[in-house]
Amino acid sequence: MSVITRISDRVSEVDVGPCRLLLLPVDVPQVVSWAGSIATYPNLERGEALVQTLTADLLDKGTRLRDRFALSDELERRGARLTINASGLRISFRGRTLEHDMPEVMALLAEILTQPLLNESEFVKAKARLNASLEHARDSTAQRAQGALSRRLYCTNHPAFLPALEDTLQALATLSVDDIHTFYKGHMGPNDLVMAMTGDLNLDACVQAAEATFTHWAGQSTQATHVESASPEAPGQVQIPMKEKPALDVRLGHAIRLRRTDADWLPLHVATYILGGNFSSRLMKRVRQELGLTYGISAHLQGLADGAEGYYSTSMSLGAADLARGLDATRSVIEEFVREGPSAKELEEKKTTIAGAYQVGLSTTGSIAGRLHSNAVRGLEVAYLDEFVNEVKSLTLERVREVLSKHISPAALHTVVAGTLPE
Amino acid sequence: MSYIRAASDTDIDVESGKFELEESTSGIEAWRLNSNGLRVLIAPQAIAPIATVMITYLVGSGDERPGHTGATHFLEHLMFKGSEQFNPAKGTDIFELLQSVGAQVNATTSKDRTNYYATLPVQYLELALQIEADRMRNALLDTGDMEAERTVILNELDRGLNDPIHNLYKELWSTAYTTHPYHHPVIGWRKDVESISQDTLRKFYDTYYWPDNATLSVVGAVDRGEILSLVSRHFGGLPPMPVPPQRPRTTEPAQAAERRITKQGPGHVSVLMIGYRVCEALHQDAAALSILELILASGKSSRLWRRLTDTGLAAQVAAGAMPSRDPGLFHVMAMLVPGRTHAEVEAEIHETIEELQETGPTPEELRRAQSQLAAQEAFMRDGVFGMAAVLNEAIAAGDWRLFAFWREHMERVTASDVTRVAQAYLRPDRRTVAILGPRGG
Repeated sequence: MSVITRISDRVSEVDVGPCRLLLLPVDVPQVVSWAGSIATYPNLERGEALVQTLTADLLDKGTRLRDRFALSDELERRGARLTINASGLRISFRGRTLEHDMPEVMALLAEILTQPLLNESEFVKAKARLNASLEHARDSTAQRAQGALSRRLYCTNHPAFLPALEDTLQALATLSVDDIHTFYKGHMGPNDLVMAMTGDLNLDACVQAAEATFTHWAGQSTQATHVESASPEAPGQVQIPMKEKPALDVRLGHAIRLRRTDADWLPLHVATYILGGNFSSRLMKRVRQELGLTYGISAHLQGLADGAEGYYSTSMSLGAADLARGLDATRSVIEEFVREGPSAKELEEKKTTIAGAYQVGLSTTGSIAGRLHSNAVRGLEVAYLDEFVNEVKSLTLERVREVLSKHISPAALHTVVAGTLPE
Repeated sequence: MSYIRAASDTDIDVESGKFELEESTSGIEAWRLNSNGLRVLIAPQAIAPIATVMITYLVGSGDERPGHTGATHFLEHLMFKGSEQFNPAKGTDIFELLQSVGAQVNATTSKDRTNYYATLPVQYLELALQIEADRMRNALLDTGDMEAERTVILNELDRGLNDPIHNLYKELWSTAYTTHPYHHPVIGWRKDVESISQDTLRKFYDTYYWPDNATLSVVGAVDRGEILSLVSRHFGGLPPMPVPPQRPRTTEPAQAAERRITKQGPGHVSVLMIGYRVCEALHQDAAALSILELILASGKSSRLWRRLTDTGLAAQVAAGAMPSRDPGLFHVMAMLVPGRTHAEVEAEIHETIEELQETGPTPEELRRAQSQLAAQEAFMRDGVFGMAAVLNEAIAAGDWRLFAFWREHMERVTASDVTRVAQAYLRPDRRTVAILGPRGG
């Protein structure tokens, strides 16, 4: 049997100019992965989330030094991968390359972030691509249901609010490339810049690459303008009729007065996992395995990525003929679970599950870099990478039951159903 | 630090003749369990103290007869419902046991194979092996379980119907193949799923679930001696298959002309798919087709990205062929930008392919494709599950060594090979065109 050592003890943490750099060598020959991000704080009320999405798409479509084809050729002839995404209140970048190409790929990342062209012709194409994606999303029962639930719980200025796709399409039509330039100038800079690198690392080379990449970046600093609390409507039902969608997507959820960094998060996370975290959860056992009503049902805490208050959600897929039975069975499981809490056996089993799954989740250079990065963004110490498991193991049944009954209320659940509804 | 444990000084199971080493290459050892023919692939990997245990059965929807379609997938579901030693009545539910130790557990079915896997902390590796060994020959396939699972599968089928692109893909295959079982969707035709009997599933199980129709892959922080010892203990007593299966894999007749289908969906999504009938994965042309795939649609330097996405005709474009045991399909797929027509996108695709057929790839395109593959090879070894998943597809295609010699095969591909396969396979009389547009649009 292997001796399991603390991963976090092997992490080097270096401040390189504006960048908090986390480095963890692991035994994967030739491969280097990284995950990083900057805070951009789009003004959500003014619809800047959409502008940010387009800005992120345009960053690698040409710089002041190279056109889009030269840029992509530099990456692709090395087999390197680099993706840039808008995610909530940040723009994130992830990638993977061979170790000997890492400095050149980092230099390209710097060029993309700091000297993008953001030109009109690429903007027009990016708008058209986004339009197609939004039309595809309009045809998705899952996206329609999730969006409708979020709009019952939050105002437009909350990071978990998802605007109606029709509204987003209308807003997209009115945007110009000037909006992109304004957003870039006002929001893009090395704000709260965090990057984690793992794999076949030469630590000195990584620090040098980060210095070359980030120390001369003098972008704008920006301030948060969003709200962090939910503003839910009274519990109710929403039906979204869609043609030719025989599998209904159902959401049962409500807002929670809880942030990811609150002490109650971990016990509530574990309670939610017992209810609907995996195949052997209460909901799956009852609604899928015993009653055979659904292909999948799960429970999650969501909307917590940006430090704001999130929500509890149950997601499931039901045939129209099984809708009433499925909803009844689900509500019944949730009510019983909140009323009585998990059993001692369930808690101990799921502690082992979560600890093991956490270990399994750290099995690629990309997943380790991603975890180091997300912990750092949340303000957690590097040691949390190892301490998470200990914190799970130390949870008591009383604590989990107390937090569950404090935060989850079956009476507060909103119900959303999207698909071809029963007559 | 390395999580790989030191190899055993002595290997009792090997010394006593229980296993034969078939091949050792590219960091993978292939062993054969002499008592029943089970092949065991062992690939040590050191990133974390975890391992993936994956068992691949050579049975997929390509082995199903009309009237029994969906049997492979139905069986995949029932394999989690219980076996003699592992079942809810004994308090040893398979999902519960594996997930209680943190395993990521699942199974998938394709046209050529069914695989079951668990990625888990390495100290629980024996549990995964015990479960796979027990359900290989002792699955319960209970009637009550089957009826409950039938509704679950029908819901899964409905979920597929919700997605018009998924439906178009199924239609593409069932139009391109008329007699070969690749005609059937992996999940099966609805009327078959609704009516398939326990007896049929039992016969299907007894035809294909045997050690000599399976390959067990173990990737991770493992010691070969310990793995072989555990495999011997848990699988060694299983008998080999009594008779080889009679697979209904007919030869698909040559296609005489282009085939076309047009579908309309309720939303606003417009998609064009083209499937070209190509060779099987073990054919000598398969490597050149893989290079062709990269040149056509991998990244923003690729020809189709430049012709379709960069010009604002398509929001997304993709091309490629899943490795298949029998001659399969090479796909080109484009999601149209609103306002553009299928005709203009299709014309651009045909022109792009014709240009490649006439002039072949440039030296730079070939170099770029081969560099991408070199990097991909290193990336495939980054993570235990990823490597097991790639091995799984090679096993399904007919030879796990496709994984081991993949890069070597690709490096031997010349520009004239790419031109030749483009000319030989991407022809009008080999293609099926599938169009999806908005209803009334």
